[in-house]
Amino acid sequence: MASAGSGDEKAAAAAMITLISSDNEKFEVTEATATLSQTIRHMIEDGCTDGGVPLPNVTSKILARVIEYCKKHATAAAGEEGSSSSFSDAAFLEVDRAFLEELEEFDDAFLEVDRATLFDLILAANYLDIKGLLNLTCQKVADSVKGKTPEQIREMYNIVNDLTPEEEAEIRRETQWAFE
Amino acid sequence: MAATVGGSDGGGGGMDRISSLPDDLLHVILVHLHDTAAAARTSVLSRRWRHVWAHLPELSFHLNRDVDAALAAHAAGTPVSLLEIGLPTWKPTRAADPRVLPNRLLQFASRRVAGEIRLALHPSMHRVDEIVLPTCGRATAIKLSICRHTLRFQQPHPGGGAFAALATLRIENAYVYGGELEDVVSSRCCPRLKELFLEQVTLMDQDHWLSLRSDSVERLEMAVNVYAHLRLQVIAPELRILSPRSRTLADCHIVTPKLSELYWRGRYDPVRHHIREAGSHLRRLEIGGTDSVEPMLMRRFNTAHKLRVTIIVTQVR
Repeated sequence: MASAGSGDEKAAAAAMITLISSDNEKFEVTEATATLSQTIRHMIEDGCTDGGVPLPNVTSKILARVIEYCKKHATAAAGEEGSSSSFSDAAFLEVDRAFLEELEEFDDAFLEVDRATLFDLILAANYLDIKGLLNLTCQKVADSVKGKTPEQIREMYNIVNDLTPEEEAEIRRETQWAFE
Repeated sequence: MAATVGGSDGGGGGMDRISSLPDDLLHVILVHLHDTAAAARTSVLSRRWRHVWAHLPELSFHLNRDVDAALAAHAAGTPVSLLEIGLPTWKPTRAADPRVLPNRLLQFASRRVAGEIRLALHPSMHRVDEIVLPTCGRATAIKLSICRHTLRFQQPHPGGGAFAALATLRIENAYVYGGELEDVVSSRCCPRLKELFLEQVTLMDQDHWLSLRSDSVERLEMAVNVYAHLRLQVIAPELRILSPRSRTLADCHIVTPKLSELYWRGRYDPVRHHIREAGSHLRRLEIGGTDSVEPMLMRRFNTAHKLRVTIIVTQVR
């Protein structure tokens, strides 16, 4: 537990970390961006980031996207820490709202990816332990399933139904409350 | 935004990526449906999906489902970190008696939830006699919005610790007995209570001094009504934030040595409203909802880091 001392915020913000993708591409990012990942935050705290952080589970294509997300959201996180007023402060909220809207637009655009990339992002967010990104991407999948019949979901995600008709009927009986 | 469609490993064409995710990630996805019935319907997708929903850590029920059956099917060993129940309308079904449903759900919550319990009833719901909150030893937050039903609290054990983990309690739109409320929020029942919100809560007792004592609570916001005038006592050594927004606050006796933020609505009468042991300096003072600025209150707290005064001017014809 050393380098990320709170008294040294400026130095910490300027510190650069090298991330290395599974296909050996190197990405230089600020510590503020990298530490949105709890996994990397712990590595930094343990002092094992010299010579770069190898991420054998993340390809350069996906890592580039993840970094894009972290850069945008690191600025947001920095803003949040400043004030912690209990009662609403209208002027403060006004600025906040504009920024949050911008962030939301960024997230929407960020999610404009094909399904394979979406699942790669989910796995990367999980591995790197980036809660915001994991929630964002899983929400996208949840939204795509919402209101769909089991048949539609199977078709959408290429799920092969390996249940016998008898088994399926039995499960439907068991979960009848959910289909009513 | 450029979407990279299809790589050498395919754009998902033909591949079932979702079913190969580990269970905990499928849980994250299903939890984001915020609808446990929809999550349970995935059990017919394939063998892989059959039992996934039954281990969901967060449960949300919103419709007129036979929630009893759902709770029975949820795997018994799975810890529940959030149970969210919204009952918008209720048409009785053969499966369950609507009048016992909210209480049945709270009994389940009492046994199983290590985390947050939310219950919201809808006006059009079939009336229930009383909503009874059982002791919930592992709940960290309880939020009840119960549409002007009467809320009773199950008698805690004399040993105490009935809500041993509870940090946040929010009660909205409810009738309560003052004496029961006092018992429940006391340090004996809620030793870790940090935040207490009482919104549109009406006391059933006539002529009662509502006496809230807590050694742990740091934030108290209340809009409590009584049929006559509210008489309030608050003794809370750790309280920092106080917002007693009751229009009928006749008398109060508040002992809060660490008070740093005060939101005061209505008249302040130094003869009947006592705020003791708090210094004259506040981090934040908000005064609002009156037709005159309260000079006496501003004299009582003569320095505030932030001051906000809202003046409502009534038009005179």
